[in-house]
Amino acid sequence: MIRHPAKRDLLTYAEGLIDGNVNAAMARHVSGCSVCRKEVESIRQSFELVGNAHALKPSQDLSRRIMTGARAVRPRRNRFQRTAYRTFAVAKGAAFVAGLAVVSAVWFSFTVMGVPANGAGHTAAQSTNAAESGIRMAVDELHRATSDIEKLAGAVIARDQRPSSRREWHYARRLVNVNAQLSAAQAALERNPSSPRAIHLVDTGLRHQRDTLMTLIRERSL
Amino acid sequence: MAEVSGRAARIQSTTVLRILRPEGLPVDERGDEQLMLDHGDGSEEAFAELLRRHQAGILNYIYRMVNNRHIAEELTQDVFMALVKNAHRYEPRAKFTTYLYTIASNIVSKEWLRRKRRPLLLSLYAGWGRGKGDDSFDPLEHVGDIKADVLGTFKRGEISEAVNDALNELPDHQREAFVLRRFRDLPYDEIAEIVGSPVGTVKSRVVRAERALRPLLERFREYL
Repeated sequence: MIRHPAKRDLLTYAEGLIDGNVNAAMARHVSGCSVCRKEVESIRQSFELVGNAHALKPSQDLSRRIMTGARAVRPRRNRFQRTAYRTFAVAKGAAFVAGLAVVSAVWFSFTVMGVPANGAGHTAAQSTNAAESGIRMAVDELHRATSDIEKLAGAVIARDQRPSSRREWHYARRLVNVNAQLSAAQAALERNPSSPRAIHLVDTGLRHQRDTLMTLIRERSL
Repeated sequence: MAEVSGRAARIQSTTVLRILRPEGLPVDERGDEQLMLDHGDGSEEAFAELLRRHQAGILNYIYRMVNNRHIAEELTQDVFMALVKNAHRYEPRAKFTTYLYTIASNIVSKEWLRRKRRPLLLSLYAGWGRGKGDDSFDPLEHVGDIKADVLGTFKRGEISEAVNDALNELPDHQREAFVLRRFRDLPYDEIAEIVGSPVGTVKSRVVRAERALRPLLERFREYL
């Protein structure tokens, strides 16, 4: 019974990453074994096909955006400042540990010794509750808006998958763009939920999506 | 004596006068790690050079992972912003590309998590336009180029689309290993460091990915 090399060894052989005696032994086996030869050829063909795929060119706008962003956040620290930063980071860590110890001690004294919580604690809890309810409202709002749009989208795709007229193509194309922008805006919002610009973009995107879907429905019912 | 003078003449003839800046080599001749350290010290042109060298690679890596140009551009921006924010903490312990692609890989993982939580509504109309993907290849960009190989461009466009669609079918970790190996041409040990798995596992993932892609790309073999 022929013992075939492992698939991952065939892969590294097909990529030309094996050298020396192992490579010679592998080449001998592959030249005499039709199964392994076919496997190696298939791997090479797949890689060649994949190598033919287009690569994206970064737009000028992207480079400009990155450079502008970098200028805004770029830390201007020299080597001395870097050392100082590290020292500061260590000090910060120590302070954090000390703070944690104090908080634990206070918590321990409250819970074990039975000292009642003061008014400040109540205020903090109230403000946290208010913030949580605010976020929940925003999420509910978003869900409501998306479910409306889902219904509209359902009405559009229920009739026909492909737009029939030139105008329909136009609106469909616009919808694709709106979706892409909305997707990017939503990604930004999820990354930074408190960003007013991201909220504005998602809001605008949803409104555009709704308008375009309604226009499509109108187009189709005429 | 004649030999020495001959050697001196050879050296003289091959020596090129180079003007070095105060910080050493010109920016485009410095290594990535050095550029990153210089950037940490506040050099804007070092960052611009790093951006020039790696922007396309990162954009394409992310694009193959998320299959959407808009999101890929935004995540590319995030990767470089993370690079800027952490520049002062950078220490050249590993290759710069390992460091950079690890950041990119983490950002892509977060994007996958976000996608899983996000409603599917936003991809309802992705099928309109071209294929399931997005606008990565615009044929209009190639119109007017007299020298362009029209058939070749068309075939490459088709292959691109098919490869993107096929990559979408792969599990995330297989796709990541495959993209880093075949599209970015990184060595296996570097990929292993980036994805945080042993080299053998990475190789197995690439093998499995290749075997999964094979039937999906079968009809394009005639183009080779």
